[in-house]
Amino acid sequence: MRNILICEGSTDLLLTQYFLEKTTDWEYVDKKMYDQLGLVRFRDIKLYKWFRKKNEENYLCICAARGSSNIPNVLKNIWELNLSEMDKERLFGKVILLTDNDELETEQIFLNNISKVLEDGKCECNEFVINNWNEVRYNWFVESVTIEFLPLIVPFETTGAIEDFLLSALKEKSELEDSDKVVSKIVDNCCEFINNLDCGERYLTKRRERTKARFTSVFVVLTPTDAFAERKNLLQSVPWEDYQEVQIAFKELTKI
Amino acid sequence: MTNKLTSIGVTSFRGIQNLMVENLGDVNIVTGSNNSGKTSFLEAMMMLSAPESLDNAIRVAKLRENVKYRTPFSRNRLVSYQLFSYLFNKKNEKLKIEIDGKYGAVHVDLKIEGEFQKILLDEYMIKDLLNNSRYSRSKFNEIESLEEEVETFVGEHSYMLNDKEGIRYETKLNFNKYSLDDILRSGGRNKPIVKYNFISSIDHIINDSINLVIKSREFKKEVVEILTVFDEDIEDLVIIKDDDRYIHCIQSKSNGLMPLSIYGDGIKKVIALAAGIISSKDGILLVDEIETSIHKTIMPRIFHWLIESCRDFSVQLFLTTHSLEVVDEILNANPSAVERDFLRIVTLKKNDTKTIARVLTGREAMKLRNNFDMELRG
Repeated sequence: MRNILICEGSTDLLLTQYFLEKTTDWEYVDKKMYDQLGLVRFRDIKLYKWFRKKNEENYLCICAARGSSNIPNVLKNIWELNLSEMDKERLFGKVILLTDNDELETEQIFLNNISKVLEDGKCECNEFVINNWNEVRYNWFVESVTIEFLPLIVPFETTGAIEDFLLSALKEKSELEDSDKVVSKIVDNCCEFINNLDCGERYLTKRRERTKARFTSVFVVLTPTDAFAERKNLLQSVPWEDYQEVQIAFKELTKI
Repeated sequence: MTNKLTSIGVTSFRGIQNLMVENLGDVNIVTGSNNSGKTSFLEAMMMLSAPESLDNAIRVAKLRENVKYRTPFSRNRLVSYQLFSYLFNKKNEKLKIEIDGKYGAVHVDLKIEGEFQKILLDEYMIKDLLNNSRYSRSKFNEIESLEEEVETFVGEHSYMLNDKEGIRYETKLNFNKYSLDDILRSGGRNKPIVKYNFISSIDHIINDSINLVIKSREFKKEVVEILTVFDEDIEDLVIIKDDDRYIHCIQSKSNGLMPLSIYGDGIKKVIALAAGIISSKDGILLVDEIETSIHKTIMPRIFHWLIESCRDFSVQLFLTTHSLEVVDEILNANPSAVERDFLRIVTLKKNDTKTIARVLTGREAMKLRNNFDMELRG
């Protein structure tokens, strides 16, 4: 069985990788093993990683689409694979589309774009329910096959990027558990600092850049010695699996 | 190409069951793992090309044994009756060959159904057999003293051509291993709906096909030109008379006349393909395991020439291969074949109850190779 999680960019990829490795039994697969295991090498997707569930023939690919608006295009390519693959075991049986509420125009437009890709790809699908597994049927050569789709939009109820969602998780935990609530104050102050910073037209000109700056600035304060470390290390320096908001948001991923 | 095979369904034939292949092209690369039914698929096409002819069915049945005629194993070859029995899919409860297809607007279907029965031949039947046929002395004696039951095929052969008002033509079949060859001899040969030629993976080694190429003067020039891929000194193909023998030779700039036999198999393969193209004009050329004797480095030029020549002679081409290099080289060697949409990659995969086929256009195949490095051989 193959599964695929299409997310927006490297932050989402690293976070989901971290979450799945910590909370379930997914293990990173070395690129050298791809051919031996028959795992697809995506030539037109720059950032992707394959994972294998411990002691199972169950594989998951997490790939970054480079923006929410590009997720339907990546899905279209992936779907061509599902239409052409002759080995049933190699079909993508579960497809997760992870995006945030930041740049999304509306959930409905996102879902409509996804539905259109699938309908063009000879699928029968009912209206998608967000953050739930949805069944999609299509004719695979001589039989009808069911694929499960999970459109996951994080955070659930508010708008914002996944980075803001993670900062919110840090803040909430601090307010619940820290007597001095210092992490919560750091988050507030860093966000306020970045939001009010006037950089003219040279720096932080895009909203998305400010989002990343808010996120990174919090980590610069929390882990100053690691400030120049890789983004991956910064992100993975927090035990996200302990955070309730993250647990709720990624609850469905444990069903892959 | 008016007689182009556009689709074929093989309900039951050899190891193939319930296979449907549509949207065939002018050039079709047939691939799949070992024992997926590639050669049987080609044979099914040959069966369908002359649906009224039992003789054609037996000729198809014999193709895989033909190699033995030229080897020390010739005495071990199977007889027509045995070969006929292996045309049936043994998984089916009822013995049945069922193939149908479309040549343009003409729908053709062929069925041979029946069962093998043990029948005791009485003295009149034995007399009939011996009176109506010529047998070797040993075979004559064997038949004359027959006391055991003889396995006999009892069934029906039928076919239908929808351009002839959909009439199904039926013939009762009743033969055993002693009578089949005689039935075939007396049946005569029928003109096929579309002519076909089959080139096995070793035909270029065991058969001489240079005569046809030499007779086709204009095409010979093209063949000589493509042979320079192997040896740039090659300038002609000729037959010379030496006493009472005719020797096939290559005229070389540097070595003069040299017998074809001393050249490598690649050259013989190209000559066999060229002869196949000539004799398949306006028909179908089936080539099993195209990659044999052709090195990767020269594949692009050979494949380009092969495909363009088939276009010139209006030949529909079916190639089987195990090689992903062949698939890639054909896709890359003939951008126009992809552009003009006459290339197809047909991948066969067998499971317990059916053989499934994936038919990709050249464009689709290139996309899957380029974007996903996809294994197209199934």
